[in-house]
Amino acid sequence: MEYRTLSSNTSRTRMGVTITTWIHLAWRSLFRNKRRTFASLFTVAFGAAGLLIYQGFNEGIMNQYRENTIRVRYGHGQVFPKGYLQKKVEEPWKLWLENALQSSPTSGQGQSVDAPGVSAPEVASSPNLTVEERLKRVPEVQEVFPRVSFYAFLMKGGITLAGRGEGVLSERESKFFSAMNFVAGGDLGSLGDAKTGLILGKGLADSLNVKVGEPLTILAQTVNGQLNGVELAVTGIFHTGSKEFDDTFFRMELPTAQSLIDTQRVELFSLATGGVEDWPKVAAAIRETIPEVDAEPFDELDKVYYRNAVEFLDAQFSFIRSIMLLIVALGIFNTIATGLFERAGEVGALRANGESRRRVFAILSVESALLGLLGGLLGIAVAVVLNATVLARGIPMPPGPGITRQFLIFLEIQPAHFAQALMLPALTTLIASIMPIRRLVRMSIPQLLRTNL
Amino acid sequence: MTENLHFAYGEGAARAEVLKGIDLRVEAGIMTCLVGPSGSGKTTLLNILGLLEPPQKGRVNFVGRDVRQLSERELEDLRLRELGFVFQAFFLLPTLTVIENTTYFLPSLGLSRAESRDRGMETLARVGLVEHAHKLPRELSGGQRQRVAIARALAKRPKVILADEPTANLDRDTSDTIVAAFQELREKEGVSFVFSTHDHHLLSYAQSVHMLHQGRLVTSKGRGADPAPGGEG
Repeated sequence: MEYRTLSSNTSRTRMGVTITTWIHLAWRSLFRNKRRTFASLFTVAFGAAGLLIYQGFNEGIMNQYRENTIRVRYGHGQVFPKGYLQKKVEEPWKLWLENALQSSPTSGQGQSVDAPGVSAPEVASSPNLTVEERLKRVPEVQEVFPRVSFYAFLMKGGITLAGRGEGVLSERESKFFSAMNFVAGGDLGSLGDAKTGLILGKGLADSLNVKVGEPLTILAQTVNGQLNGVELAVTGIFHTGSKEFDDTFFRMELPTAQSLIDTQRVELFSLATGGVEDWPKVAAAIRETIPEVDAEPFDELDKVYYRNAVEFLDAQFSFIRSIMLLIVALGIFNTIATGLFERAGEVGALRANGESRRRVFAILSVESALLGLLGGLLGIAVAVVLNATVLARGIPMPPGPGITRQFLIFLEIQPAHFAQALMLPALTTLIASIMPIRRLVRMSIPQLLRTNL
Repeated sequence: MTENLHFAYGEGAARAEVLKGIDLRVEAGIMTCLVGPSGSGKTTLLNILGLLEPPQKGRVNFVGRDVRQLSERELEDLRLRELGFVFQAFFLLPTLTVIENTTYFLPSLGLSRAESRDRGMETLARVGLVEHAHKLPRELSGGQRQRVAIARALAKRPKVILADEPTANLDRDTSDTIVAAFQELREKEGVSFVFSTHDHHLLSYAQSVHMLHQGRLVTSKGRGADPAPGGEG
């Protein structure tokens, strides 16, 4: 007899049918023991749904934290005089931006940015334009908010407290800084002339025992070192939830603040962009066109609270995710191993008739991966239904560290989360199956044939 | 062909030698039967002849090649192309239909889907199961399942078919159908058959019969029957 070897055509044909055959066989084998398959499916689905809900919940917390940070304090980022954040100086206002505002009466440089014969890039980089004008020319920048900040004493009756004041353009800011959460009154202009109004945090207001409509005296040092004061009426009390902010900060109109500390300069510009993802482009454009300033994103400015919180939550999520996947792996390991070894005789008969270890390994692995993918899909469906029903009204959360009010968390499930909830349980199922599959395919054929007798 | 074949299970005090110097020649195109009481070594010898188990001592030549010199891949390919196995416990894939079980190995032999199907139906016709082609094994009787297992081995058109008690679960009529199919394949295509069996009806078709007792060949009759030590030859 002549021993025949595989021809190259045969090899190609074998390769061609391989993948579809593996998937076909795996799919058919998947439901041979429905009870066991459903037990495994539910374990994987439970893990996938848990992962998706927890990740959506985590994203919800982080997004809410991010939105609060952006829409209470910083905007998407801020622009400072060059080197301002790095330098430690006694009189920081000497570094503040001069003639920076578009409407600055002292700038004398109020050239229209739409001047004929001047192209947009030239206008954007033109030193004749104010910083505000040039910032507004950056395509992704939707609004700019000039500010100054200073330390001051707030006095009411016999109570005097130190606080941190900010001068802002309230009409412009009120549209973007929408998360102030006024618990009494409203913005600076809500009682009449914004220039005579003042808003302050709940902690500060409670300590001063001041209510909306009542006057407060603000005492601050001017840039020349003299003491200056102004009496303003409280128009609103905000409760952002950030204890540090609510206990310390108050805001007044920018011209009032500039008058109080006797300067026409501005310390910084907060920027509103199309979204956080726009910041790298904005920063690059500013670096290129406004060399006298530095641009910092909100998460860098709020490193202590926002970025640390995000990193903390991320690390916590990674740890809990590992535990969930481990539970899934342990939950299905025994079921999968039992199912596999029940089929030892069939595997033995296939191998006796020429099936290779490699193909048996592949078919069983594809079957496990299919089980994991199906479980992942089922879990995703469960999570989506839960999110649209019982979780649709949000999850009430108690105040977190450094937070003084309760808040509602809504699941924010991103497309990448779906991919992760599908792939991670599938991968975990596959990994949990590898050991019993390896053990099965390593058995000799007579051993396999004897196993189920 | 085997020369001075030895095989033992276990080690040390638990060692049990099941084959003790077997010399056996299986000729092409004939039916060879291995008979003997339980524990005589029939299944172990069948496993070694079918390249499922390597010999521990002695030589096994298959189509002129010493099987100890073959790699795992070569042994797999020999089992796929040259050998067919039928087991007493059937070991069919329960989620595949009769025709799918029958044609399982054919794509691996390079047959197209249509060719596989044609050959599968032709093989099922030989074992009288065409009308059950699209049923699942659980819908068949034990005898019908065994015929599917036989069809799966036959469909590969191997040179040798090895079977461990192939008619043990079949009634007489079914057994006759199967044996007739075996005879036809043997005569028309020169396929060799090696069985272990207690079925005297099947023995009557065998051209060569070897009896094992306590690991030794004690009787060999018919073609290819070399005188066995201590046997009647």
